[in-house]
Amino acid sequence: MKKILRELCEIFGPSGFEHDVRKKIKDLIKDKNFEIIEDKFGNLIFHNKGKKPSLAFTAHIDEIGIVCIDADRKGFLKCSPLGNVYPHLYAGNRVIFRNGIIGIFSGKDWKREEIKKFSEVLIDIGANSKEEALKRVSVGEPAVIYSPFICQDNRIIARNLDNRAGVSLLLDIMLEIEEIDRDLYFVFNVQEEVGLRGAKVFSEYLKADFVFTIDVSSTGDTYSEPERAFGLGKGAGIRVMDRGTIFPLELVNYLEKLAVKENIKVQRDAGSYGITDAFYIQTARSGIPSIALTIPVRYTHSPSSFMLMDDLIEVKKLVMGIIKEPPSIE
Amino acid sequence: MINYLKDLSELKGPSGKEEEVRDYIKKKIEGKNIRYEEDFFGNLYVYKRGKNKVNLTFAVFAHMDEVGVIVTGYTSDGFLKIKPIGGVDPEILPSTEIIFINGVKGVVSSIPPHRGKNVEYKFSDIVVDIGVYKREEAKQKVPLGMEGVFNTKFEKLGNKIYKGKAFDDRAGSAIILSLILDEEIPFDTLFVFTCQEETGLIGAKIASKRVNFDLAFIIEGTFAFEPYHPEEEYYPKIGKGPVVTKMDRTLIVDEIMISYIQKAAKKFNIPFQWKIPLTGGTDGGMVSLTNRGVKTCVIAVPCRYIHSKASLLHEDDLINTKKLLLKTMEVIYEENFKGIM
Repeated sequence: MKKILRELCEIFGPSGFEHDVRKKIKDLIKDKNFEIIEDKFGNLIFHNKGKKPSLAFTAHIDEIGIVCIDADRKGFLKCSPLGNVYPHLYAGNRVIFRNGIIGIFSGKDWKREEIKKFSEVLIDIGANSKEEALKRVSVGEPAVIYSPFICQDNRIIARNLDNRAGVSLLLDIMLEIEEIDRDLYFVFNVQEEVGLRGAKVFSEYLKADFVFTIDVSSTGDTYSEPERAFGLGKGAGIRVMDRGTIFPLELVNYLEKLAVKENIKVQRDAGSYGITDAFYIQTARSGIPSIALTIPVRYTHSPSSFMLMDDLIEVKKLVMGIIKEPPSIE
Repeated sequence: MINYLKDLSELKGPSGKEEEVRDYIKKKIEGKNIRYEEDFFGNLYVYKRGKNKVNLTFAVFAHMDEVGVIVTGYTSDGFLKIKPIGGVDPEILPSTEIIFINGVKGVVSSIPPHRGKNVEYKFSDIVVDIGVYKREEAKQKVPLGMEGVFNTKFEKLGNKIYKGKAFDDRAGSAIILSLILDEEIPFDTLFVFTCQEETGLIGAKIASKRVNFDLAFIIEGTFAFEPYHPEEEYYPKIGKGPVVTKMDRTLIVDEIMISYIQKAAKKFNIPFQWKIPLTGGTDGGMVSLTNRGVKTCVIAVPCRYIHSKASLLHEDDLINTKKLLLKTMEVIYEENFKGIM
């Protein structure tokens, strides 16, 4: 799983520009016997036909980024965020555009004063004039933070663990399971970071009885996040509540029972922050029972998110457990 | 086309009360052997035959509604209290003329300079004066909840530059009406005139669940930030061609569609300009998320001072927006919808 995670984290794929991630996923799964469903929005779904209830596991494949919107007279690029980007966390870092051009995320007087708004941000690509800047990076070009993937033992640092961690976990499971008589959907959806747009599209036609959304969740065990019980190294997160969703208690109970039975380390993930694709899935059509399984990650949406492989493995065990013993339809 | 715009601009159609606009369009289409239908919400669907049959549905959207005000109460001396419908800045309202949908006219109150104005106008501070003295009289003339719009005459100002109200999105409506009535189109197309865009893309939401389509173009009136834009910053200008969206607050346009638009513009020598990325939002955001995902583009006519009493646009932009849409359709057809299906 580490190898897949590294490969995925090294791919460029901000919201709306997920082509390479999609290609990689198709490549990895090409020898497996799944039916492929693709919609015009860019969502990619793999289906394994079998016994009901049908279960769906979803993970979004996009990451946050920035977009060039203009250049100033001196040749500095102006940009806007793609998703929830904190400019003060990016200041001083490097960004890489889709065409490979690397620039520095700076701003007016950014060494002395914290950059608060995107209107203050200037991307320095070493151009000398507006014309030269826009020739190298045209208006509308996306970029992501340039921050290499690091793996030391089981500690992972990367810019885009949200949500390449979830994607790698699903891919790992798909490669592992052999012929199985279970109706399964593996959903790789797009444009989550800009407002759960991909989920809105697929949840209207996905015919699943239960949906499990795999995503990362900010831990509350550092001084940089609001304090809460959810922490690194404490196992798979079962989300109970977030900013947009209250998850069904039946599913929480089912997962906790399953965890005891299968000896999986789990923790409850509750708070009034964050939102996942389950927000739309839950209210799609006549309502689809769904819950988010979360991977504890520190410093999400920063250039360096931090995660432990152990936690990812616990989430994987939980997903395998669900496939083995799915919840019953009343 | 400018005649359609003149007629459409002077009609009253705040969000939720688009009857006048809808009736005008229906009257124009009637007897032309073009099938159309309406839904309960007021969206109007026009099915226009093209030169060829294709096995996908192509849809073009424009919204009929405009921003306005709604009566929320009265003062004891007969003034009307109002709230906005859609994005209306209270600062630009004082002393403008409002016409309510039953035809009653009024003027928005303002403070004369003699008194030394040092307040920022808020909706709680301004009222509409319809020339009556008593609450009861005001109630009778303009009932609670009645909508009003700016009262503005459509006029030619300079060479090819026109003044009017509600160019967002009567400009788009005029363009697609002209496509329906005056042009031959390459393939069968569904034209949708939607309601209630300004209050939250509501008509488009209903329309896109009611009809199936695979590809959508949104024709809009968008802002040209003249003359206030900082000199060194880029903003769309009037007279410089249609404004094409790569990305706004609600939609990321598929690059294949962008390349089709670019191809058409190059081949037929049509000028166009980019919209500033990540600003604004249109029916496109809603439409793109339906029907298993719809490849959606937005092309807009740049207009100065939109969402105000009077906007300005350039006739060439209107013509070129129509041309760009039509030619993009042709290019897509010639290339057999490559990359779209």
